[in-house]
Amino acid sequence: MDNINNYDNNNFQTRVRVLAVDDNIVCLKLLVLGLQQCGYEVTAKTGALEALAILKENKDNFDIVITDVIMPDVDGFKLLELIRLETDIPVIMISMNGDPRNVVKGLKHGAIDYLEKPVKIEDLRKLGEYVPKKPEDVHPPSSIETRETIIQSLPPEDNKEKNMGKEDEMSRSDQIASSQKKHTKKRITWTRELHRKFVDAIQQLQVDVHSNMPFVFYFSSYNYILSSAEIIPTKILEIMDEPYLTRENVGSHLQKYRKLLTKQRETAGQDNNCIIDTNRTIRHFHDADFTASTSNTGRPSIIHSNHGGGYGMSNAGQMNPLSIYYATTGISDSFSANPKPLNDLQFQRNLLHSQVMDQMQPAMPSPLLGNITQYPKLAADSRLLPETNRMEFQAVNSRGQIVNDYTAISPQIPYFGSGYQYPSPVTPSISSHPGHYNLPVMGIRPYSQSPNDFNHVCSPYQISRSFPNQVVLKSQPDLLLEQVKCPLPGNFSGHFDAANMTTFGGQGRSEMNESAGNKHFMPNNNQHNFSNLDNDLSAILNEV
Amino acid sequence: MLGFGAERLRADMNRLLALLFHQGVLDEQFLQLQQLQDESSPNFVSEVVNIYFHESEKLLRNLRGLLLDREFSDYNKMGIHLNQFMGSSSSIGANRVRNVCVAFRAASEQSNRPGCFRALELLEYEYCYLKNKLHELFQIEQQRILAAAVRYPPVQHPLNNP
Repeated sequence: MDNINNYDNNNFQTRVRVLAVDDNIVCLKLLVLGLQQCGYEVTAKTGALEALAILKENKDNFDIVITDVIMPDVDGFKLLELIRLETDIPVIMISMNGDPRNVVKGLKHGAIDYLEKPVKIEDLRKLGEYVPKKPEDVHPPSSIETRETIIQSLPPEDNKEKNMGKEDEMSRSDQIASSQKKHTKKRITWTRELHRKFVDAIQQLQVDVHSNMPFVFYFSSYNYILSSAEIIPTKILEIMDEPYLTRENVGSHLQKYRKLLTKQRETAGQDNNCIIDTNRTIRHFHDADFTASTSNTGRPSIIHSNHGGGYGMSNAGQMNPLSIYYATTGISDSFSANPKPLNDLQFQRNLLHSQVMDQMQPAMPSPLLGNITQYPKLAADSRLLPETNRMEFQAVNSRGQIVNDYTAISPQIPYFGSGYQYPSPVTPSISSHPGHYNLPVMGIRPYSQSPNDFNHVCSPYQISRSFPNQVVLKSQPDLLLEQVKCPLPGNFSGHFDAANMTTFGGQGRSEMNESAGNKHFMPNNNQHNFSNLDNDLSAILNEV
Repeated sequence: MLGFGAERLRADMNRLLALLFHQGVLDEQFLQLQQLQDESSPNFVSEVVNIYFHESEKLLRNLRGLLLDREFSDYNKMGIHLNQFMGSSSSIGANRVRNVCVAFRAASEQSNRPGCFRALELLEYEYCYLKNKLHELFQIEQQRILAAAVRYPPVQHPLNNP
């Protein structure tokens, strides 16, 4: 008995609540029963106005709205618009008229799906996928830091269970969750502390190696990359002693770190006249509260050109400790509320940069855990040190120039900021430039579409499904005419066929696909469905 | 003997359904409708179909009224009615009615009044045919259910009686 009650309770809580609107009672009845058999809680309304009234009354009462397109009181599209305007509830349209133009129109107006009548029960079963997660399931990220701590603090097993069965691939936070779901692809956020440990580890290694092999400076960077990819991460990992890091994580981070340094050496290549004690420099590079090189005058605007470029090393000379801290942890986004606007060029650069970052994501060598500890090229890591020296010096000497250089190369610089697994640098600054809003969101979205979107391709089959029915009919009219004993002109049947053909042309399919494609670029008004972290961020900023 | 009748009635029903499918009067949507019917909604099909009949007759009356009107020009309203008719017909799987509706709508979109008249007549004929056949079907089903429900009372032991 208890079991049954529990089951009912659970069922009640997870039940999807559907509002079905259709002026056609027959269709509505069918729809309602179909929905009920799929386990949804259904409220049926025959008028759009009634439906709107009940929605206005309590918009939290429904998870999804299914509406007919052609209705006498309010057109389905109008209803769709009104619903989208006032709520976040996803809307599905159903229509007798499978005209591709109507389908496109519906999707453009913000419907998440467009089904043709009669609706099949298989389609209704899929509705649950469209329902966004309930608010209590989502951790509302009040800031990036909390998001990071959430990601890091939750052991993957916990997350896995929490997120089981509550799929909403459209929201970014879920992507994080689902990435945690797969143990193999756990994401590591390189916080400042973590990075500091990382650098410490490198340092330690280098001290060891330095004493043994001073000549490693002369290895070409190519060799260096090849050889160190396998060995060094393992050692770093040992030294760092972080249980949740894998060798791949470290390797990937190391590679990016190295690339950044290489880039900087190229920029700062001219004056290499100074070599300082390596340990000390690195130290104060990564110390948030360092004061050694505070000859700098921190300007917030620099963060803007920089935080896309990542770790904040390239112009560390110009930044005060606070801004380094921001650049490292990604909080620099909060600056976007006040600083001077980015120009278009910078904007596009950031965009490009984020794409580069995307491509870099699936980095890392296959796990080949060798135990070659004394491999000589290991020492090559000490290359890191003189570069940082040089860079710092240059930074102090010619501040203006390094900024320019940095602007030139920044698209290629890997992004080491803690949020680096997202293409984050773009949108935060957008919040201060609404004019640019559409551009970057489109640009960085390629992976953010949910698999659900591809389901729209199945709609064309529904359209063409009605096509064979006409074939039956075509053979009928003669027979019918005999039965009805009603003399019809011969052209009637011809007219008949033509009518069928005009409505259900073969072109339906291609246009439908196009519509599915179009949906990719539909601005997503749904507040729950942030396409990525950046939208989250801008929303947070807006709230603040 | 009675159980036998249930089997025979089931066979009759299937034969009738097969005929209607063969003629294109019904399509697979009608089967979907039947599948939706379960213990929680035992009379679902006949319920929906009765609503359909009710609605359709209203629509047919309206359509005829519109067409018979002397200074008739409201093809728009006619289109709305026809859309309704099409929607409900396709929902219950009345394939031929639906197809005639498509033709009717095409004629009304072209403001082809004679075409509309012919289509209306055909529509009425198709509708009547469908209605008769479905009534027949439901009648057989009712008889079948009755026949299947007949049970010889189990032999009761006298001791079990209170």
